Amino acid sequence: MTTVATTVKDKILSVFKNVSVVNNTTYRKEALEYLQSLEVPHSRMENWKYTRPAFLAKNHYELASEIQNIDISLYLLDATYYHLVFINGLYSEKESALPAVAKDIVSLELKNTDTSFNKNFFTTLNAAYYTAGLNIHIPAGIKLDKPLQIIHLSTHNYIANVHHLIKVEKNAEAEILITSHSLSEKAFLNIFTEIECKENATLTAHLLQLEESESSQYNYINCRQGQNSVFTINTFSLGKAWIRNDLDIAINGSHCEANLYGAYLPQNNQHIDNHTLVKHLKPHSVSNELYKGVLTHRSTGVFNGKVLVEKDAQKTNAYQSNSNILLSNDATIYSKPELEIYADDVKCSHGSTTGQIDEEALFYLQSRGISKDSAMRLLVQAFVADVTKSLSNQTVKTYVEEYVADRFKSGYAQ
Amino acid sequence: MLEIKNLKASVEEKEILKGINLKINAGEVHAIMGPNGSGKSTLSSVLAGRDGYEVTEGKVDFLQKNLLELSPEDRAREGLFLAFQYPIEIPGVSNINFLKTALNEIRAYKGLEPISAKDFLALVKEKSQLVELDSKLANRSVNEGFSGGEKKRNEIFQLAMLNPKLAILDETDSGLDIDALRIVANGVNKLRSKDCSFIIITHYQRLLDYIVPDFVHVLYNGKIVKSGTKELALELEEKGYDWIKAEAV
Repeated sequence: MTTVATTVKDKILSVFKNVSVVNNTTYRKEALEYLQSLEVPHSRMENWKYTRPAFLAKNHYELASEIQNIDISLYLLDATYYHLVFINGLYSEKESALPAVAKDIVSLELKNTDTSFNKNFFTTLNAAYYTAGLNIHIPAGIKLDKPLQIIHLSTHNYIANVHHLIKVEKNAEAEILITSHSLSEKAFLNIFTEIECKENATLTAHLLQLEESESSQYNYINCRQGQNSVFTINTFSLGKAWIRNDLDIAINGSHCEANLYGAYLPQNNQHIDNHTLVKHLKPHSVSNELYKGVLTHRSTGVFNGKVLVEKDAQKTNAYQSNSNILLSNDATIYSKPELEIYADDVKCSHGSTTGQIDEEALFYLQSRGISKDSAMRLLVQAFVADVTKSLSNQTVKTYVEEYVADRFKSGYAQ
Repeated sequence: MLEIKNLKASVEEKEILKGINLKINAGEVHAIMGPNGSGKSTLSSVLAGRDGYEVTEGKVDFLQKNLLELSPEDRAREGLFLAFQYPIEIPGVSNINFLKTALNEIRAYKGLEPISAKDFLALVKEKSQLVELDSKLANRSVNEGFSGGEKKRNEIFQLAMLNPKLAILDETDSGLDIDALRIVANGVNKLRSKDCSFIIITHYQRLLDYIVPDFVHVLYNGKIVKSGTKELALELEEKGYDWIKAEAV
């Protein structure tokens, strides 16, 4: 087995063999060195039991050497938002739109110092070889006037390693959309985002994974929250890509709020994995987590949500829920909610449900003259609306709801 | 408008309906009474097209169509309405969206344009008053968190909105207090017309004090064993079902 794993790793690393690391910072060096000791995740690792990225080695990848010219207007959720565009892992200044004021806020210079990230093969690969990324810094007391969309577009068989730093200072506020799109099923996008919310900061992030083709994405986000901060992250996997999301949230201050909402709708042979970790380290904080899945055809979903309440995190309120509808006999969901509590005065709950569409409800709707297809669509929409109703951004809300309506407009395939 | 001929139906290989014959003309109100387990709810389920019931014999003509060949939605579009004994809660689907979808799919089936938003709202307002349904309930999720009485009123509200040719009320009186019963019955009485027939399935004569039927049938052991006029219901109330059972044997 070791030889197989090594071959997979060699194959992936061979893509980078000609990379001359000009910016050879300590950060990259450390990562490069550490990479030697890591294996490409495989199913014998508990966290990767159901998600096997070894297939990546079957693709022939390259690294993009120049910025493609592509009209990205198709990918803008709202043309009035700020947008920053990464094509195949390279920043496209031409396609990006940032008004003067935002130029002080966003820079392309990454100053990575924190090496305490969850060091798996992909995050470390990213740290060693990322080609671009944003350094977003919202100064104290500033509220970003408009949402900012970070667009990741893959066009060919490239591995794109993108690395973002987002820091929201004291009393500052921002809303960020992170979207991914793909025109090639041979593309692999590896995004690493480090987030820090300082005291009283508010950050809302929307992750919209909209890959138009069956490409692959690994996405790692960590967030450290300071006192009284509110961090919300909404993850909607609506595209066709193979996806593994790792969210790693450390509530490092008291009176914080962390909200994690998500919906995934895999189809065909698609695989979508959401791993989340919420660490309560300080008292009096709240975390809410709700993920919902609708699975069709032969698709697979994985949900693994862990809430960890440390000894000092008294008076923590942590809620976690995952529910799934399987619309096909061949679809599979692995759902694993986990609670690990070391404090004694907390309120925590978790739950997971998996079922099929409610036949009674279906018949009720049909008995009123609604076709089975429409009835199915209404029920799926209602199921997902449980997640979208919490969205305050109407553009994102409408986008997701229209996607669901459209996807199930003629009932469901399987 | 509805003619049931020798209808036999089974659930999981067990025969429940053992040869039902019933003819209903436009505008008539028929009550079907009978003891528990006589097949009343099976009859309504078979007519509405619920899964899990196998029709083994007989036929049902509804407005010159073979009802049993139609999908549940097409039965509704042809003008059949079933008021459920236990209305289903559907979280996340608003009553309004639900009814608008239903109404427009029925209209599309008949080759009509979708109803305008203005006309639809006017209709909702008019019909919700009929059963004294709080207009706030119309905006809530279908039956979610409704009381037993509100659910039944919502059934009659839907009936009024969809304007069927034949409405089957499946134990609509069960779980209703006297006030709710009166409201529901008043609603139904206002909807009685020469174009709309009713089948009222009930255990008790009480409902029939409010909705006076043209005919009363007694269903026992999967068959209609006695038919009569409204006086039959009073007789049943007085004597119970035992004499019918004795007669039927």
